[in-house]
Amino acid sequence: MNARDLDQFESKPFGVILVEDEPATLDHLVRVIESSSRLKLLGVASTVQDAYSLLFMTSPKVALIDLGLPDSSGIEVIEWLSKNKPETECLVITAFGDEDHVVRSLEAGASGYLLKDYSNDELIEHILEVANGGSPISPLIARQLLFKIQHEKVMENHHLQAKADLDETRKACSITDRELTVIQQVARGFTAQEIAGQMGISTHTVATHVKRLYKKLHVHSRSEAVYEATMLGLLDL
Amino acid sequence: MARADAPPANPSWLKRLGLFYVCAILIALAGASILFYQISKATPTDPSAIEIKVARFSEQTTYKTRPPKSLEQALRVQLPHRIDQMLSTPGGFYWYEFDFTAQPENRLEALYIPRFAMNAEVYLNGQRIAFFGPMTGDFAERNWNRPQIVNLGPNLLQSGQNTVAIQVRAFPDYLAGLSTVWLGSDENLREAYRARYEVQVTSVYLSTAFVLGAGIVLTILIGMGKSRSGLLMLLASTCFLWGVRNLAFLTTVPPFEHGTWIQITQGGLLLFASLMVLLILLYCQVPRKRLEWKIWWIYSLSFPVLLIINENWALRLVAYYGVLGLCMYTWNVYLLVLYGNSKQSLAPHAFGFGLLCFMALSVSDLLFLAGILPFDGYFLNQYMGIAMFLAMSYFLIDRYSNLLKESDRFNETLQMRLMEREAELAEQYQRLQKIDEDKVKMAERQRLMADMHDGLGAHLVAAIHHLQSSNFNRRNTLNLLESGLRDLQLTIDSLEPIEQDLTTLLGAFRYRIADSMRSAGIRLHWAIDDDIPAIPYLDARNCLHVLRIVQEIFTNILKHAQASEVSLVVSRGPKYVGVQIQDNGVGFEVDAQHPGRGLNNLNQRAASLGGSIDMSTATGRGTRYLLKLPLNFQT
Repeated sequence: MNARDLDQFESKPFGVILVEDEPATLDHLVRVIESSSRLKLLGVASTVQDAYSLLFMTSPKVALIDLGLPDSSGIEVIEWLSKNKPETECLVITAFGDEDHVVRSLEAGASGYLLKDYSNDELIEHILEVANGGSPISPLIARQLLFKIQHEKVMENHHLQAKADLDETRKACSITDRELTVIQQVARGFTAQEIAGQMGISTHTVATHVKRLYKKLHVHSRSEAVYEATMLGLLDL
Repeated sequence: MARADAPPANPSWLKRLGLFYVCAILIALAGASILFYQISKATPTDPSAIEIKVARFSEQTTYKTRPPKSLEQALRVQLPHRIDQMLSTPGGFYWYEFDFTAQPENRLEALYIPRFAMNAEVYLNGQRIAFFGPMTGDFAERNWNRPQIVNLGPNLLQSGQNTVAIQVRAFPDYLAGLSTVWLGSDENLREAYRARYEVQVTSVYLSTAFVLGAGIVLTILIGMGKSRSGLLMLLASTCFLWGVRNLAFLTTVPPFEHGTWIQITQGGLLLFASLMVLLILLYCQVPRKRLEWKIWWIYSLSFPVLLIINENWALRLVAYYGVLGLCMYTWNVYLLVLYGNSKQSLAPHAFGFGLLCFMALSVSDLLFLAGILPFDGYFLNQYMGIAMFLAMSYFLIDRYSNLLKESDRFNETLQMRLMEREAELAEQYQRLQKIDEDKVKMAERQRLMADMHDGLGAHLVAAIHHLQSSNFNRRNTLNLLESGLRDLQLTIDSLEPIEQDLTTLLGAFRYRIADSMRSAGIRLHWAIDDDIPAIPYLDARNCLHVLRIVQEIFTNILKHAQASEVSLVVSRGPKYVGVQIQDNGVGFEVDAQHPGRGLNNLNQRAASLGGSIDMSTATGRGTRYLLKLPLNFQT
């Protein structure tokens, strides 16, 4: 994918940290990352607390995070990162890429996910793609995003009055037609290259669209929380 | 009727009954005294007023416009005077004449006639000074129940001797005569006149209005459908009949000529008595076979026949049938008293007592009609009508409202039972729903277990067996584990909420196999029509079917086809969605007899989706699979 083209121009390896408690997966991922010259493993953590300590000392480009950690959920780490170190891209480690885990991670601010059964090449490719600003997306996730957008439109109509204060965030959240086309096609199984061909744009632009969508999902989920807090009277705007 | 099994006398019941009769008799006496007080006022009180009790009398067959000469020597008769011998004749004219001396201190200004029947003229000194009703022709004005007052006229009145003559027209088959006549001062006579008018006319108006009103109220009650009680309907009709009967008293200018009018009013009276008896027989629940019913039938059927045969019978019929009616009433009173005792209810007693009073007044009326009571008397039983209907209406309405209360209570319990039943049903429904849910969960669990068992489980078992066997090799074991994992992925993908979207399902599949295809060096062409509709039966189970079909086809291609390009096209047919997968591989020869286990599997899966799968291949020309999924398949 586009990551391959880009990696000829980059020379400095990307810093990576790994938050994972399962030893087998950890070993495997450590081996894979260390095998690549484009990636540099900055550290590993097996609990959320360890992860915070690690992030206190390092600023990785990519953080690989498992959700099921012994002391808390990896979602917490993703949220912390997207707030405090927005330049760090988060990738969620998951066995099956099931929508529940992934969409929650995306809402928390993750840029994508890694399937545990990816081949070594695929793993590296995905990490590099994310490090280079890309956003991998699967048809099932695209379908979930579409569903959320449609649902959001209905909700927007319901809350039009109440949401007047949050107009700015809403604008930031609104999805463009191109972005919509991109995820619609992704949901139907087309690859980034195919979509780029259909729309007459570069694959990089396709990736940007997806990335923006992820960001909007994240911003939206935050604005939704703000909105709900406002409604509950917890926040003064 | 419980005649034999009357319950043992109950002291409190006897007390109530005694109290009731004391009250009833007191009320009856009070009513009677009011009536007699009013009647007493109908006699002039002025001592100078003169009551004429004797008059010269003459019968004429033709109408005369002045008093005949023969009157001066005619025989004297006592007033009130009534002659019925013309009852069955065409009628005639009775002349009554008397003299009086007018003195200025006597103030003889007016003539007061309490009763005459039915049309009359008054002459003073040979000059006509008043007339009531036509004296010729068939039409009769019914003035027999109207008292009259006539001003004597100062011009015609001579000081000293004056003569007054009254010509009364007798109608065939009807009573005729003249009461005593009063001379006196205008105001004193008018006072008496007014009192009598109130007794004979105004009170009858009131009674009629009351009874008709009661009839209308009852009719409305019945009409509103609030009651199916035959008794109430009967009561309503007796009310109306009573009103019609009273017309005989009130109407002076009837809408029909004399004979027909008698038939109507007297027929009404007889019918009223008939209905009254019927009402009581029903009210007391007298068994149909008893003699009372036979008598009632004979009575009710015979008088209309007699009425129709001869109109002249009408007045006599009232007398004969009146006696029969009175006998029936007497028996009815007895029935009512027995019924009241058996039920220990005051209502029949009240009814019976009312009937008894009604009978007493009716006897007086019959005696009056028969000429035994003086001609200037009163018809009284219309007064009883008010009391009778008051009593009947009160008790019937009381009974009726009890019925309503009962039905309300019944409705309430019905409502309660309905609510209980509803709650029960709701509970049952919830239980059933829970069972259904459990069934669905169970089915889903069984399906998942079967999927795991057949897919992942089978692969894992195969891998273990392979590892345990002596001649295992790494590559086969890896293949087995990989296909197990892939099957697990398919199962998980099939559980994703894709909202019946086939393209997403296939897209997810493409995402899974992209890496394998790339490693195998196969280019995948992906084409999807824009208008692929949602496939309604695409639930998790069916998603897995589709995924496994496509998985098997792609596995075949990867393993055997040696293809460099594969295309997957999703297109919409008229009744199905087609998924066509074509490779440019080596193809193979199809054995028509043994299509092979793999293809059988594909066919079975496609069939369970209600669809079909076609395969066409030939050596060297690649393979083409076409999966057809119907749009309207019900699983």
